[in-house]
Amino acid sequence: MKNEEDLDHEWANDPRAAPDAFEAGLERAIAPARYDVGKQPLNIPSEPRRASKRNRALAAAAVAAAIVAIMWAAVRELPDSASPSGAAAFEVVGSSGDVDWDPARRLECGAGGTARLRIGSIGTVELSEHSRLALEQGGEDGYRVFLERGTLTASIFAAPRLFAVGTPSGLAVDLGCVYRTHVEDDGSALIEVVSGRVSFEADGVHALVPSGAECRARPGRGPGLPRWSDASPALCAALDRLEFADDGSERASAISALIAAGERRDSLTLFHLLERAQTSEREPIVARLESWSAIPATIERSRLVGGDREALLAWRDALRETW
Amino acid sequence: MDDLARTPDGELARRARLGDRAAFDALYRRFARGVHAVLAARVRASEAEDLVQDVFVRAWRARGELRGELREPDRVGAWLFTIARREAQAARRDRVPAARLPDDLAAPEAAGSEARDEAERVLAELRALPEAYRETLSLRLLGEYSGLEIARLTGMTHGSVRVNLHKGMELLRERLSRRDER
Repeated sequence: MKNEEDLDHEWANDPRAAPDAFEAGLERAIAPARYDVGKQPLNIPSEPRRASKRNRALAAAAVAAAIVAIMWAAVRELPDSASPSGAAAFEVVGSSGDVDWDPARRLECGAGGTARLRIGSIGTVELSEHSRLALEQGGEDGYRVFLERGTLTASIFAAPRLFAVGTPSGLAVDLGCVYRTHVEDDGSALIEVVSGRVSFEADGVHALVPSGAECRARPGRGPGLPRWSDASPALCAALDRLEFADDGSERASAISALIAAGERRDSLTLFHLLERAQTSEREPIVARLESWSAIPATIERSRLVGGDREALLAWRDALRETW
Repeated sequence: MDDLARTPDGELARRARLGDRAAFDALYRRFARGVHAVLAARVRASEAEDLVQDVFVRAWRARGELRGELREPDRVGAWLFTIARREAQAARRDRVPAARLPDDLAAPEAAGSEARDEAERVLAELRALPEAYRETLSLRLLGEYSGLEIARLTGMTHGSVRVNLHKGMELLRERLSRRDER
């Protein structure tokens, strides 16, 4: 009798082997609904401002270099002790192009506009074009801004949780780092961490996003599972399927795919999955994580499978060696 | 001559990220049918046709996100499919309740086309299948992808795709048989 591996191999070598009469009839019946690329040319509306084709690569490289330089300057120039007494909580210290600045309420960059905003004495944020930022709170108790749309790059060097970026999908709480936040028109958000860590939180759901990782969030759903920015295609696809699973069977299938696709360092993603999983889903997740990092003797395995918060946090500390 | 039709996905993505519309158009030609299949697993095929353009416009605007995809060409299609799933979900969410029509109602533009009407009816039965089978079957029947290609583009294991296709086809056969008996 053939096992699964044999069947997979056989199928892989002959993936569309002779459809039966039903399938062939089905293909004929459905053919008129197939999308015809030839009849529907792509029509992308022109953008408000574009660099010349020849210079785009150079411009992109220049922008990247500028961002790195600004981050470096922030590291060097803004130690906590350098804070001028009584300085404004928020201050625009550099801008170009179409920028609208209301010191009490908001900062907005239009087409081609960019701005650099100083956050007290703890760091800076860069606001990219087509972005709008509301200023919510600034002072000794902490600084909070709300990114309504667009892209923000924060370089913060302060005690954890002193600075946070709100988005329509959740709150990105700084734990001492450099990170980029992007908000789409539909309110979905993406956090990418360059250095340090961010805690992405909403309605009791949280994701710890370390350097080199990213996390997406949607309004009403909060943060998804964090992943490494260069995670494998299989893991990314499984995560996307899990995010859009409409029923139990699709969710179970996506979790199986996620477990199969994960590598040792993807314990970042699988641990967050374990935290949010239902009891019936935890056993294979624990088994996979256990295969990468043994459960410490002080933690009972049954407590992990049962979702005991204290046990989970204790194991997280052991797993975090790779993230 | 630069033959974009034979240029690898990753190279097209790299050029598209720098603003090369011709490269992005080549990605459209390569993946539009698959994107339509992902959409049509969730909304009517005629509505999915309209959404294909929206998916690619959104992808063009978000092309700066094409980073990992440059190193992993397999991710370009998966990335577009993810945008398509979101677009379909948004389209379903944004529907005005009073305007919600039966899934098997033929689109106005399809009126007069019997073959098109029948295809829409078959797809309505496909969309009534459990979620796990819908997209896999749609990618096979509308996208004309092989099982291996579906596995590569969705991240599912070969075994899962094989099972989904087999089981999904069985269930679809049952539904269509019952419909024919009515």
